[in-house]
Amino acid sequence: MSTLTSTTSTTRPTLGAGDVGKSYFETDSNKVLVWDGAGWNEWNPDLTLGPGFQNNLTAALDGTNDYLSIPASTDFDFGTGDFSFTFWMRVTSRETYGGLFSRASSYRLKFQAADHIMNLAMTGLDSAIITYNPGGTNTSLLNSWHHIMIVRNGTTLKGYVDNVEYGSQSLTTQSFSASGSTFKWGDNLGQAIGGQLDEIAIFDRGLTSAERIEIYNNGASFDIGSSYTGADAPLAFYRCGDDDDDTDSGGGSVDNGDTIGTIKNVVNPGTHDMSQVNGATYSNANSPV
Amino acid sequence: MRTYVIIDASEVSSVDFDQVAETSADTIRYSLDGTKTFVKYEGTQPFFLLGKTEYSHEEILSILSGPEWSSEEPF
Repeated sequence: MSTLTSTTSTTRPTLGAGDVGKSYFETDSNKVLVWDGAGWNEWNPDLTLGPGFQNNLTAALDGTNDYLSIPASTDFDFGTGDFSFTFWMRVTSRETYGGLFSRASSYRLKFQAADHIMNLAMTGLDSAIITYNPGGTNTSLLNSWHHIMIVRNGTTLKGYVDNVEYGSQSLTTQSFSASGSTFKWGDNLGQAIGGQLDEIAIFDRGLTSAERIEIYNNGASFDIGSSYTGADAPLAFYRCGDDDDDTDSGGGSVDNGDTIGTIKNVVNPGTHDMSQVNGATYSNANSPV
Repeated sequence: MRTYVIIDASEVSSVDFDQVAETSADTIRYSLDGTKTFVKYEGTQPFFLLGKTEYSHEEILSILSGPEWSSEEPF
């Protein structure tokens, strides 16, 4: 009998083409990992197979001035209507008010001068929506992967970290519109974050509790693009290097370390595709799920 | 590994954006007083930056967190 080498989701080794077959047991997720030369094949504890929907790459920001950019569109002007944002983040550095996303000054999710507070600002309100406070101890959101969901259902706005509610706000006329503004990820009016973003989804509807559970999926990969179709489909879903149509800056296929070219909107390629500004790259280091 | 160099704003016109990671003159970041900016690159220092002080990622993050580059909450 042999024993697999142990690793964790935040300390997975960086492997290359010559490492085919190397296998690990991930102690924090209880997954079995096998490197196939280009990405991780993952077996979850319930014996479901990760591949088919592998998540090996992320979008990496250096925390100085780079960010991801979606062209301006009124599709993201939700007004007082429902919406949801879901994504994974591993923030390793932040400026005081470093942004997760922003559309000019009209709506922004940003750190709020502390590692455990994120603030969602909108027209008519500038309110802390997430204070990460597990077990009653304000805990840093930095340096670990976290799944973030921001959901507006009617007059209720809620923020979730790893599908646990850490913020709630009643809304009336407060609105989310920014006509003509580029949608930036990793920036708040020039204040940057460093680290990684992944699996970004934007819905023009409020997610249900069941959907939040499904998307968070206990921290495992979940195929939002295929699972929600028709009226339930997100406006956009970005795999940050793991979609076959994602490209590097030269227009070619994606490798670890490449400067990002185009990150396709999986649910509607060619519409709302994402690009990078100032050198954001793909990274397979510490992929979240 | 990326290297970072701070330059005067007046030198932006001499930057070859094919040789740095920054996208364009329109996307670079300036100091709060508008007199300085920075660029980053991989490998050998581009000719137009020769002689400039090079900073590591950790060093530039420290510099950018200072009062010369970071303001109160932006609105």
